[in-house]
Amino acid sequence: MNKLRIPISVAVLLAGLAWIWLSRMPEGSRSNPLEAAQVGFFAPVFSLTSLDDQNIGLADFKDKPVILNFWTSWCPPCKAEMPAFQQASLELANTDLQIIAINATSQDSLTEVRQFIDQYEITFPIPLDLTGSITRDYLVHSLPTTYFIDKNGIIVDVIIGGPIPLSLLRIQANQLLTD
Amino acid sequence: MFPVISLGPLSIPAPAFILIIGYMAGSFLLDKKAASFSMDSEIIDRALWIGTISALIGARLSFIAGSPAAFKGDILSVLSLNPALLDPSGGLVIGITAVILVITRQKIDYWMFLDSLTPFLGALIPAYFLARFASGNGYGFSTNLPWGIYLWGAIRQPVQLYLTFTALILLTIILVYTPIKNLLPGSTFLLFSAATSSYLIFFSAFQVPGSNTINGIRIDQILYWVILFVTLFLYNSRIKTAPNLVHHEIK
Repeated sequence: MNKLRIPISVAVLLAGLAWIWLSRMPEGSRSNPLEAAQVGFFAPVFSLTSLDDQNIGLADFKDKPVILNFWTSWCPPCKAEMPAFQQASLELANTDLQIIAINATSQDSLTEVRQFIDQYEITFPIPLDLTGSITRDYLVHSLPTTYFIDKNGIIVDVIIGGPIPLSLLRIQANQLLTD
Repeated sequence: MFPVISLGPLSIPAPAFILIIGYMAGSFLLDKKAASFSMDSEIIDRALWIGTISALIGARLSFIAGSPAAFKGDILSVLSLNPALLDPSGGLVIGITAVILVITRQKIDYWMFLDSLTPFLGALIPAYFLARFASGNGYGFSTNLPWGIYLWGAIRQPVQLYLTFTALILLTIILVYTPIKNLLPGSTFLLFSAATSSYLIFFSAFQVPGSNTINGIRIDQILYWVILFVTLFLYNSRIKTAPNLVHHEIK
């Protein structure tokens, strides 16, 4: 066995190299990703209305990076992080980046949503997911959940839970804007 | 995919929960096996704890160092419990450095320490792969195989499960067969690392690459091959230079 030790090691290393070569990716095999709520995939499209009956859809922000947050008025981390989102939206007002916070209205009440928006003086778009279909499409199992979508519409990061501090929003926004 | 475990009003992130279970199982196995590697489990535990805490603090400091300007006016966020404010690679470097300092100070043999750490790693690694399955990360290519799983809009190779089961088989081998008589100190760790990098090279072929590729060749596979090369080189050269050095006595 001792005599075979080195030949076996060399054979394992050569087999490894051969496998790496044989299993290399065919050209173009990563293009055209599907739509899914996961890093590396196109963000699922949506078109919803806001409290003042404005239509808000992901397609409205074509070629722009988007920070997409899901929240409800009764969720404590959502309350804790909303001032940071508002501050970030003011700081990023002169950039292409757009912050959107979808309210999971099927789990909330419109009165509470209105009070929440007034209380936190939110100025960025708040679409209402009245049926819960978009919350399901984005596989939101826990609130808040935030998706970071690049200008090509591809999800580059997901943060489940919160609160997300302002510093992290700044860092993520900077990455989205420089990519 | 099961990213969140819901217990009434409580939502527990499943990947983090699985990793904690893996860490605890690893610590338990480390305690059980330390004596058979002629090591004091208390010293190893202490080194591991210091390493873990240093890694967490280091990961946060490294993250802050990467973008200090972002914390302007938001200094309290350096204490945020959000794990997204951690830099894993920076944390790993600082954690390993802390462990090296502890074992050097305690005058512990590096190779024997690594051997006794192997059951811990053996339990943590399958937990890591299972955590990736829970989060839906590290998914495979689409397939027609009957055991494919539906994930992200396609029937896919359950690569995370292949990796979990293979890592569990390796853990079983470690628990049943180690320490092997007349084996040089460090051999258990080096052979474990070689086996782990070998199956990672193999199964990465079925996984959609998380990192970049060069002419279709996955960077992560190259990295695993380098680890395989280094571990086999160290294993063979240690045996060649110290053929009569026998493993620590088995208790």
